[in-house]
Amino acid sequence: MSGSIPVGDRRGSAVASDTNAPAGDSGCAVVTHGLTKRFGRLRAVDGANAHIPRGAIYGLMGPNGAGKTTFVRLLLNLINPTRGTATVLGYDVTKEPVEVRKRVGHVAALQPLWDWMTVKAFADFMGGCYPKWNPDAVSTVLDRIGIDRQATLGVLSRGQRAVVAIAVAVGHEPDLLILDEALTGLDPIARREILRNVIDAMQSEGRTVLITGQDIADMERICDHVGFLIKGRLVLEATLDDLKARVKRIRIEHPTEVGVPTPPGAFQVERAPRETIFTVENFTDDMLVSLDGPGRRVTASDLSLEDIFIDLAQAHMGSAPPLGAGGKLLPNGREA
Amino acid sequence: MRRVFAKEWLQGQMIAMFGLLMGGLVTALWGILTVAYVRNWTDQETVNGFCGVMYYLVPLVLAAFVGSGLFAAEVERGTMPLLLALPFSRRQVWVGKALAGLALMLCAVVLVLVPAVIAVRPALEEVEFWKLLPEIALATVLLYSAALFWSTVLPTIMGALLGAVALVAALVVTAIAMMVFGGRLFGPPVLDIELWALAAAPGLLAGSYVGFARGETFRGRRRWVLPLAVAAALYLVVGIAYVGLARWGTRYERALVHRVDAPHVTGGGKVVGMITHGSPVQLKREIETKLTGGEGGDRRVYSICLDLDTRKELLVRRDTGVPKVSPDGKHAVLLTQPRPLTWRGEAWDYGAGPIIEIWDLARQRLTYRGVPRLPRDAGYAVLIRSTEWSPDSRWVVLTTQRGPDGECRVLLLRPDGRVELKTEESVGYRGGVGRVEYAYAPSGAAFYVLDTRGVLTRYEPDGKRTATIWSISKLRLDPEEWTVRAGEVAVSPDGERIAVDLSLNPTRRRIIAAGPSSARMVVAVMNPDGASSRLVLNEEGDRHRRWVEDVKWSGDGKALFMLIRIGDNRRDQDAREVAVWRAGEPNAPLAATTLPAREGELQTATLPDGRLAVISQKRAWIVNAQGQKTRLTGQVEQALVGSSIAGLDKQGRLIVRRPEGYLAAVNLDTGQVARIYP
Repeated sequence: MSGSIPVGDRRGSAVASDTNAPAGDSGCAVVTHGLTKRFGRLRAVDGANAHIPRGAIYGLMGPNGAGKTTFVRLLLNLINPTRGTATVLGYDVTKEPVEVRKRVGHVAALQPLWDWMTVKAFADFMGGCYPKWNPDAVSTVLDRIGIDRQATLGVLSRGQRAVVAIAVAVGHEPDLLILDEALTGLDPIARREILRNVIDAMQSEGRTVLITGQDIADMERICDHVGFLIKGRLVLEATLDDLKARVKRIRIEHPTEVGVPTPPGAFQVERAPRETIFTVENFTDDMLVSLDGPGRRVTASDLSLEDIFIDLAQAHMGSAPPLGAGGKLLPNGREA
Repeated sequence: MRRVFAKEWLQGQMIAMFGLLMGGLVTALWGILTVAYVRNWTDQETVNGFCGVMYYLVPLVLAAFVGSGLFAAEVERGTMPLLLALPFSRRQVWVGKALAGLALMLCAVVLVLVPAVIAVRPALEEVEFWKLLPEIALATVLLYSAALFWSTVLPTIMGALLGAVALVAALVVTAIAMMVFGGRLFGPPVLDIELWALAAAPGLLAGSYVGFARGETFRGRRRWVLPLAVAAALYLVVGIAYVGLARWGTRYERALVHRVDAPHVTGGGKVVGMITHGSPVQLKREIETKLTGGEGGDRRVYSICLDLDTRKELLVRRDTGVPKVSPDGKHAVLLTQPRPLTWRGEAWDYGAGPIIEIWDLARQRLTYRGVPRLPRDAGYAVLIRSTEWSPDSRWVVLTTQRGPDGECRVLLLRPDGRVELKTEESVGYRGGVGRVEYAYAPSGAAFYVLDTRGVLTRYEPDGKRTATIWSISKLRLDPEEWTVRAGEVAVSPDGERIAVDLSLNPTRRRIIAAGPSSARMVVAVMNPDGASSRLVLNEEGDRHRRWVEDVKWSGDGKALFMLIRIGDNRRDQDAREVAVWRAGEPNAPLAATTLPAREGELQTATLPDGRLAVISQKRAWIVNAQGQKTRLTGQVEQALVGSSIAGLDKQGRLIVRRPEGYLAAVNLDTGQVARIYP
């Protein structure tokens, strides 16, 4: 990615095009190529190739220390990448970070605020920082949660401060909203209000949301795209529907203790004396036929997002190498 | 940038309040101390001094607090990502913050000082508060820069504060070190410190900017390494530039010398020691004049030893006294003031007397620096009164005095600083009476000390005091009735005769005993053991009082020339006479020749042929051993008039300092003048 300014409307909702972008990148709000960030010997992000489509609600999942926050900071150019490129809304983040930040709303987990400001002063200050500002958008969120504008931020609870942070993050009507574990600390009611009013509104207006976190139930409910970041590597990226359709658990019950061949695309195997369970990607009905045999009972079942996440994380974080190979869902973080 | 500035401004109002609180506290303390003064618990000087110091501290404390909190506070409280995620570049954030901090600090200082001026102005004026304000302003900017630098590097406010204080301390130490070990650019060292601060502040600000704009703020070694590397590089560059500038500013160039003073030829006519007054280059002169408010250019004084053959400087030292070159021309001794210790408003208090420096001229190396002290000098300041070389160049003879009114002693110092001889006993007391005079026999066989009681003592070169060879009691005068002012001790070139001249003033006891009596002038000549002494001149004051101004032996040692001033103490306006005592006719009356009045200061030099050259501001004469004077005319007179004599060179030419300020050699036969230096 050269990072050149896309041709056409740079700020509009129309799909930005980049003449040097690989095929398929033009409809993306975020595109990264080989994005790497090292802190000494630690590779916090390791060659991530992400494609977040415009208008998507993208859930970036990963265990603790996987590099999610570093990935987000790279997208905002709060830190410089060691290698690779990142383009956000058509702008190269290292060359035009200010343009990116003008169009991106960002809330970090338990983000400390300037405690000496009142809610109103904070909102006013933030409003003055952006070229366009919609105070109604802020008010809507604050009113729904019932936050006093005259209250000093320092006296608000942690959850209330998170709500204020989210409220001001949508004030400039960003084309991309990044919630970096921002829902942490919110009570269920506030969480639901945020999800309903903020994220649904973003989605309905065709804007993009990137959510990172470990609350997979929420992710499953609201996201339409997911990415798995493990040990700095983006090991999986897909639409949620596609992921669920293609990642299945195949259970084979067999009367005798015989070896069952591992099907292609299996990345998790559990073997018992009379039962073998595979978690496979690229599931097809033909797989069932090929695994069937005398005395065997072969069944395929859907997996929850949480199950997929756990299986994938175990496959990558365990000592055994992943079993699968090939396809976009490759667990090595690189496209085939 | 505007928004960042506004945010910092809003946030910094608390700091301004803190500053106001500090100012209020200081003022309140001043009030309490004033009450204490009114009740006689303390003195006014303490109260006002405290007040001044506390107000000086306010801007410094504010600068440190504001600067250290600008970035470190954001990191410490976790709000840095929030700030950096705003649609501003890092440059805008840094500039906004730095400017806001500066504005806040200035406003806070003004807020503190304006009420202070209204409330305690007399006290501040008492301690001359305003005089130091430029220095305080500079220190404030420096401290702010240092605090800002560390604020971008360290993640805690306390760390940044400590870093700032440490850095400023390091700078002050560096400046002092530069001052002590050379590289002084301007006269008062405070200017050097200020310039160093001026150079350091932009370096620190640049380091802070680079550290923030290029660094990453959160993690990674670059956050530390890059700003530190930039700061180190900047310091290196600034330091080298500063030392270079200092060297350039203090370089000695003959072309910049505009006059010489006090030249003195020694080393067999080979070396001349003198003082030169240099004129710095125009730019530096202008800066210095502005900074000091005076004539900066005339304060460049150098001590120079010049080789008369090669015309090369053998030694160049700044701000030291007239160098005295040893007779063999190998060493030079000079007196230098120790480094100033304290600033007393308008002048440096040197705290102690001069220090001796002995230089090896061939190797340009310092062989000794210090003040020789005797064990019993412990606890006293030892002052150097005079220095002289022994004829064989083995020793520097010096008189030292213990305290300003203490006893005087004579010490012999080897060029390497070893004390060879010390007269343990006192050789006289100063106390406003007179000074100790001494002279060497030209052969180096002995030296003679004439002390303030009119006692002449002979010392052997090995340090043994041999005898008191003469005293005023030989004049059948009661030492209790006369106070002695020693004039000169002159030893003839063959060492066979010693001449002393004294002026005697009656004490109160004498006046009571014998009635009013005026002073007496005495010139006595004696042989080395004092066995045979002769009164050459014994003038009792009359209508025209006489003063012996100079006593010189002729080059052949056959005649003693005495330059005598006749008059009522109007010095340069009085008439003079040259009286000559001839060794071959000891009892003959003195041959004398009178010189006209109003001739100004006279210079004399004995010529190798046994005559005396006398130069005034208007005329020049040669006086022979018979007391006959011949006025020089024409080119020779023109060459000599108004000059001061430094001595003779190896070709027998007279080395003089011309009235125009340069050193020249004058051929006494032809009157040809050859300019030597500069």
